[in-house]
Amino acid sequence: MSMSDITEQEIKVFLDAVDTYFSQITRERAAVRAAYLADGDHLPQTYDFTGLIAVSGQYRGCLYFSAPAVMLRHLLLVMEEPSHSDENFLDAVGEIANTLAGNSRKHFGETMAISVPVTMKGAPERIKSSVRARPYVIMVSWKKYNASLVVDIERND
Amino acid sequence: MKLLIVDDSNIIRSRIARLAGDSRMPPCQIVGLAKNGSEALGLFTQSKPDVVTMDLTMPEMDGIQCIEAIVALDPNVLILVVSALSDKATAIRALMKGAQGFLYKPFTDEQLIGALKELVA
Amino acid sequence: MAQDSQRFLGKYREIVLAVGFFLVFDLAVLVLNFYTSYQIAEDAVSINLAGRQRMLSQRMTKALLTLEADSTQGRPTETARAELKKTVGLFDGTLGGFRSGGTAVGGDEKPVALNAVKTDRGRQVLDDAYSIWVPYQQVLEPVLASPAVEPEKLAAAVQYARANNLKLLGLMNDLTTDIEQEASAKAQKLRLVQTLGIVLALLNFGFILFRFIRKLQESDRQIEQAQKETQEILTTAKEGLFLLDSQRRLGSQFSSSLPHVLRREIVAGAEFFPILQQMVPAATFDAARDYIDLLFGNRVKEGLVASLNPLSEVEVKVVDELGSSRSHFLAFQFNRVVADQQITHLLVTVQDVTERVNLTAQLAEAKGQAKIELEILLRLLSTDQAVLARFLGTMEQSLKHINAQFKSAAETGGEDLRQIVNHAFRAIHALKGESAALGLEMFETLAHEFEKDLVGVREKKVIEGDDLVKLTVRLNEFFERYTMVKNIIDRIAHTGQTSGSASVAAQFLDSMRKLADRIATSQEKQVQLSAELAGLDKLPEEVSGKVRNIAFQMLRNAITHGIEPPQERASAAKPAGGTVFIACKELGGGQFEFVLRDDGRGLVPERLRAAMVKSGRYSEAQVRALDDQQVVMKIFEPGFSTATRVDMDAGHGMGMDVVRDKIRALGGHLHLTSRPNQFTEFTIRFASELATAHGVA
Repeated sequence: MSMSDITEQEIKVFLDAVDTYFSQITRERAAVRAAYLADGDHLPQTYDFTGLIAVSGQYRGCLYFSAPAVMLRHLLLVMEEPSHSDENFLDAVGEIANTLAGNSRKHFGETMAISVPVTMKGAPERIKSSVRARPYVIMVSWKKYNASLVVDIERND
Repeated sequence: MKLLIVDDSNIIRSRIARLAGDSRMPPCQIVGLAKNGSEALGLFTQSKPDVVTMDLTMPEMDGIQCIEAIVALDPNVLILVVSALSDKATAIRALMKGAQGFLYKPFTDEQLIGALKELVA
Repeated sequence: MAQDSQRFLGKYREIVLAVGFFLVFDLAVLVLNFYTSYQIAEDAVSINLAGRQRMLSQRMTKALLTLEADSTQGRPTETARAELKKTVGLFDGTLGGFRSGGTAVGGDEKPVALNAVKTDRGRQVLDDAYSIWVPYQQVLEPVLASPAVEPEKLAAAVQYARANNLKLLGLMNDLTTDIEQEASAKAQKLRLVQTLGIVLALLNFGFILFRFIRKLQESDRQIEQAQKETQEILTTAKEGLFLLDSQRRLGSQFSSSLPHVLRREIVAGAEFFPILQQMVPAATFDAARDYIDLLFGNRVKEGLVASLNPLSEVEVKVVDELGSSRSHFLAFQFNRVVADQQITHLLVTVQDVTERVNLTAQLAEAKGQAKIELEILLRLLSTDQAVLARFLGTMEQSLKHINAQFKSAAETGGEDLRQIVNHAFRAIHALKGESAALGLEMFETLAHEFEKDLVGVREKKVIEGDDLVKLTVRLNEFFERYTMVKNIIDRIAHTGQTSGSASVAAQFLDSMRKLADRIATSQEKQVQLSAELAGLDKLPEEVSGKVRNIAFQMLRNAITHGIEPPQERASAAKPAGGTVFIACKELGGGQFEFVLRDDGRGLVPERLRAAMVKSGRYSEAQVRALDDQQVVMKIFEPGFSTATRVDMDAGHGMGMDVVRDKIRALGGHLHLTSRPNQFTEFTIRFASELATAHGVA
């Protein structure tokens, strides 16, 4: 029945990755707050630091996780990492992107080729053009902070 | 055992270093932290570690070149590649150059400890 | 090493012992043989010499007689004396040998060893012989001593010889017989022992043979059993199983499913790489070859490289008999087989994981289905494009509005998720009604599926952010379908195939009839529609749309809840077919009135009370506390339904609250009259100009 090329289960794979990361590292889960579709009127919400992976193979597009500095600072604190430099903030979103890659690899196997994570500071200008007409934006909260996971992936036919 | 940690990510380096002190780990002394291949090679000649955890994608000298150079210096060194690489062929190439094992990033504490234990077993 | 040999002995102890015994017996028989032949040689000498004694006794007598004759006739006597001397010497020496052991002169003049005779009879014979021989020697002594023998002495000797010659011969004969018998007895005894030894050795040999054969048979049986088990595994395993040797060749045995899984002929001992090369892309093949080489090498840790197996899931293209290429997915697993710390083989397991992997196929199917729906849609398009365009406009607005609410929930976090879900439900429910009215089953089904998910979420005690993910996927689905249809409509509009524009009222009535027919048919009811819609064409499009929307929803409710099934109507003395009357009138002064009336069972407060209790939302006491008027007004609350089943047309507990919201948005007033078993009539009064913009609940 479905014409949608990315299923709810597939989005859950990515959400699980984020949840797994926070659960494993901080012993505190990341909760989904809400979800919506981004389009011309509603751009995906992004924050100070963004970790992105691009996919190819049977899928194309990208996935990214964006978080405010204040959240990442708290995360590094939990990880007993003393230095709260930009470099370490980028490392942190990079590792979350890595986790996204890892979970995706496990779930999609060889059908999805996944790039090395790219990390960015500030508004990610480079990812404005999207593959999907309406990328999924999922708001995730950890402790009292909000972050966003953007799923802009499509199947290649 | 003497451990050298090679990774371009600060937080990965400090995480592996923290896990090296875990009670579940065999007795372990960290002899160096390197953020790229050439730094790793310098530290390797100085401190002669038994075990190296090695990232593959790094600036300056990448992991594969570094493995090749290290194995040429000491053929008995044990190398665990720790990488997020999704291209298996590149990882296999690292093993052909002389690494003994591979661990995907991201890893849990248990996965890293288990891999290092298996490496030295 | 010591342990090894002990283990070795342990396993073969029986055989080793048996072989040892066999050797001992054989050796004993051999020694006995030596001893026997030596003894027989000795006995032969004794027998020989005993026989010679017989002959010597006679030669001695003969020599004495010759001497006597020579002497009497005056011939020289030397020869005879010498002969006599020699025979006497030999006889005496030999006899002494027989009595006490020692050397005697043999037949070839050489000394031979002689054993003393030990048998009683032999000793007796010797004693007798000596009792004759000693006096004989004495009478012979003077004869032998001088050449000039005195005739008396010679005569005395001859006389003694004649008297005792035969006795001595007899005794020597007896001696010979005795020695012969003794030797024969001994030989017999030895033969017996020898035979016994050989028999023992043979028995032992038989035992060894028996045990060996038993053991061999046992191990053969075990090997056979093991082979049988292996064979069973290989024939029944669903996976392809085979061993790869260090030459990268397939082993002699592989599971019978292997050719099926690999989709090709497999020959035992074949080289693996050429097979693999035909199956996978060059890059994958190279990586796989390196990976297999690594596993055969000693350097890498098997457990730490398994994640890099390039064949853990690989797409393989196969051309079938009909020449068409099909792809399937295989998962190879490699495990080292280690013997004596050497990696001798890799055990390779191949599974067909096509089903697991092939989500794409399902997707293609879904797309195919979408295309079929599109064809249905295209047929519909040829009739009602203007209406469809209006409908799509409404749909876009609704979907965008839902998404905007989802987004505000995501951004501010303060929104009440339940309120958002309720809003989305109303919007989707309304879209469902309009889709049904237009006969757009595709959208109707989509809305229905969305609605089901919304109901599922709404019924949860706590609505979480996770739930919105599911709803967002549905929303996306709706958007995509909308976009697809919109594109087609636009394309058609560009090709200029616009239909003639019938009046809004006429199109509306047509849609209402279709909807009434469909709902009535699905509920096994009969309904006729009568209408007076002159006012509708005088309304501006925006207001008219809202009114039509309300009408669809009210018609749906009227048929589902108002009109009774034919038999019920018959028992109430009503015609089998129900009637729904709709009207839209201009009242003047910009005021309009919309009426919808059905001749069904009417609103019965008691029945409504029962339904409220049954829904679980109200207790018995609560519904009793409400008066009839209040009970009737409950039909406008979210979640209220009296329908007994859930289908596309009713039972989702949403309908009249949508109507209420739409009436509010229209700025209208609702009037409701009803009489049990007679009718229900809704009247809405509203202005042709919208006073407030969008008054959403």
